[in-house]
Amino acid sequence: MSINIKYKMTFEHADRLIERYYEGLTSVEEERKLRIFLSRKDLPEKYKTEQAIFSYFTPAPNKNKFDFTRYLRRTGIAAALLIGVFFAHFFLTNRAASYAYIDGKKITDIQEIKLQAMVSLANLPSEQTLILENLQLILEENRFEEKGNILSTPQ
Amino acid sequence: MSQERFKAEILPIRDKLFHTAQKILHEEGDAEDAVQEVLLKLWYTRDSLDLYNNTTAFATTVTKNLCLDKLRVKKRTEALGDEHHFQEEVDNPYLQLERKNTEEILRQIIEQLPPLQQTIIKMKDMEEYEVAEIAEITGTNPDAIRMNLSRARKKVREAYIKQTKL
Repeated sequence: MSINIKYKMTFEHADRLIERYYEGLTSVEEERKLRIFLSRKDLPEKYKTEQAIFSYFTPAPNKNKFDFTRYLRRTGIAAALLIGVFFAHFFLTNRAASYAYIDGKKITDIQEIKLQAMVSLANLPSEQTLILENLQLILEENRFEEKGNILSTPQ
Repeated sequence: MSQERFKAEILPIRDKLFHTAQKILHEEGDAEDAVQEVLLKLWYTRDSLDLYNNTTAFATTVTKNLCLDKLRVKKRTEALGDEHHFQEEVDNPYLQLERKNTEEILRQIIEQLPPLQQTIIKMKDMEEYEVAEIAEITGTNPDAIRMNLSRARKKVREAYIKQTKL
């Protein structure tokens, strides 16, 4: 017993089918098989006419029947593409907006980034007060100098 | 109009359409071809047939018009004959220039087939109708369809070989 997964038509079989084709005796199924045979690139010259005719008569996608598998395949591909684009967009934009380098280390966890940012911001006012304190000191020194000058000004 | 309704409403008036066709064309064979053509035309427009109040009257009008057209074409080409008409197309150098590829050659060959043969070959080879299905739509026996299909296919083959040899 032999199992042919990919059936390859013999020349004798093809010749018989071609003869029947011209007599109008072949079924749609037989013509499909013949079409597959005639689409082969390694065929002898004698099949040239039938190759041209069968390639011209490529069946229309469907006649009056609704091809559900074709519909599913097409909508499936469209849906997969749409989902793909959506996720790509989601991940790319998200990744670009939610990572930070803290002490030379890349951090992608949004919560940790927020925490670190808050800590940095919390540090800022203390530095400002330091500057203010220094400024106050300078001002006070200046005031002392001014006072000294007033006192030492000769009457 | 559904497939079932088409069969139930249109096919019973086939005889009436045949008589209408025979009155105009006289020859039985021509009338038979015309009726089959009309039924196939109606089959392809069956979705809009419901728009007509009287489908019998509509089908009769379609038959009359088609037969009158056939008569006009017949009178015009009577002196030339079918074979001569075919030859004339082949020998026209301008047409030959236009035939750039196989597809164009075949398209023109098929266009020159008698209308009924054209419809049958397209239904069978492009739209994958079985001969029995076409016979059912036209109310004919499958052998008649098979004969027309065979003639059409052989003509396409002969004309293609003839033209590609040039």
